[in-house]
Amino acid sequence: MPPGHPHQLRLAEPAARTLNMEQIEFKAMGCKMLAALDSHSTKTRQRLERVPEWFEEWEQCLSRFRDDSELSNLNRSPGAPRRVSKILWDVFQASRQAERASDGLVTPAVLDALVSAGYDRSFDALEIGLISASVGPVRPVPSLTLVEEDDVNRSIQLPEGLHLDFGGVAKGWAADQAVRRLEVYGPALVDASGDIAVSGPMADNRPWPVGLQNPMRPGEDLCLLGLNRSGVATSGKDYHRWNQEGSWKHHIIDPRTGLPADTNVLTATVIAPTVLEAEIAAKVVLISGSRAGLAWIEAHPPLAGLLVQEDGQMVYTKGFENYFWRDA
Amino acid sequence: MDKKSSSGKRRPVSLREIKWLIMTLGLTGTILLWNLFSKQMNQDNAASSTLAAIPTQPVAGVVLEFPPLPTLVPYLSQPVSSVRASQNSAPILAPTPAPTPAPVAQPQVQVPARVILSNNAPRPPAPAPVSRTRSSHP
Repeated sequence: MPPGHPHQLRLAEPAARTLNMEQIEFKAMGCKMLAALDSHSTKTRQRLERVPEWFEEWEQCLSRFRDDSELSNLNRSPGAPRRVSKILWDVFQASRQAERASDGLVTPAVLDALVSAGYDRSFDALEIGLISASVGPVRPVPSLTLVEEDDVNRSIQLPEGLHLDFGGVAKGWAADQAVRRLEVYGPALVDASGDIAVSGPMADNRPWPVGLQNPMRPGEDLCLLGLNRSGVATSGKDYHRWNQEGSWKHHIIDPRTGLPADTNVLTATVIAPTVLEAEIAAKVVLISGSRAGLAWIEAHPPLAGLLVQEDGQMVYTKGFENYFWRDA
Repeated sequence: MDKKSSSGKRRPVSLREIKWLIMTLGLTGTILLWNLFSKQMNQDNAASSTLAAIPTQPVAGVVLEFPPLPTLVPYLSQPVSSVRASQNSAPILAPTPAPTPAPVAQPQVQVPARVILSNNAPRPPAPAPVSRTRSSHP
């Protein structure tokens, strides 16, 4: 972490309890997670306790930090078609769509670039000081168009030199999946470490109050959002940082250069119909810079974005105003 | 003989010596008087300078009127949709419409009841967030 950078978790304080609803907190995918159900059924607790099991199953398929995960096995077998689970297949298809929609800016083929930049182990390991000492070769990130697939057999064949890291796409996809499963029991919210999916209004028909954390003062919120059926995601270079040979690196890779994106955006928050879409759009803004990124958001009307620039300036699209919390 | 006569009989003062004495005394007196008058004049000048440094007091009963001070109006250099995050300690909430003032009822009694009009109707506090969006971290 940068010197003096606050490192404290601010996950769902007792607010959910204040609102008198059931919630569960757990750790998955290297992050803290939260799921809340606005229901007073006697089975609510029991239903929430299944959420960590879902995430465990998804992580075992999608994590690149587990040697025995399905994704790690796929990354170790280039040049040969490999049949994959429906979970990995679905996330791979979502990643293909993300790459197409973002003109190649958001792609899971960044794994080698991340390792070259020093992100070669889970962030827990980086946190305790195991910093990569060497700088790997830097080159533009290959495209997923090089990957062959067979949708009949549900198989994927990676070419040599292309390895996958689903990263935030997997997290957003998982949050969307979890909230779809929970919503049949009542209004639900799933927070995958800042990527938040909301099934619809709360039981009293009010929107869910969701804070937007100030990246410059992590103990404070920049604003309070009122979310109905939607997803919100924040992508930033304020937390996932590590020091490599004297310079600070972050995990948002610009595929055009193969290096951590060097723009004036510190964090980008996007509200979209789903968390997956919000996650993709937030990364586009972070990689593109404030001007091009906001123009991209404006060109996709369902999206609304707010970004905090490195200089502390906060800019948001016109549509974002619709999500500021309104007193009844 | 000369010595004896000179010691026993004083030499008469000549007229010339008397004139010299009178001129010397007159010149000395003139100089003393000149100095005296000069000192007096200097004291008078100093006194008038001190008086000139004391501001004149307004005459009682006269109201002094000054032009109004200019009011500093903050210049909003940034558009509404751009604010500085680091200085923003209070969360942004959507603007609520200004409360419509209640019509003032006509008093029915001779002594009119006190009516307090307020533009700042109490607003319910915003709820605590259920969760927070932020860049992901462990």
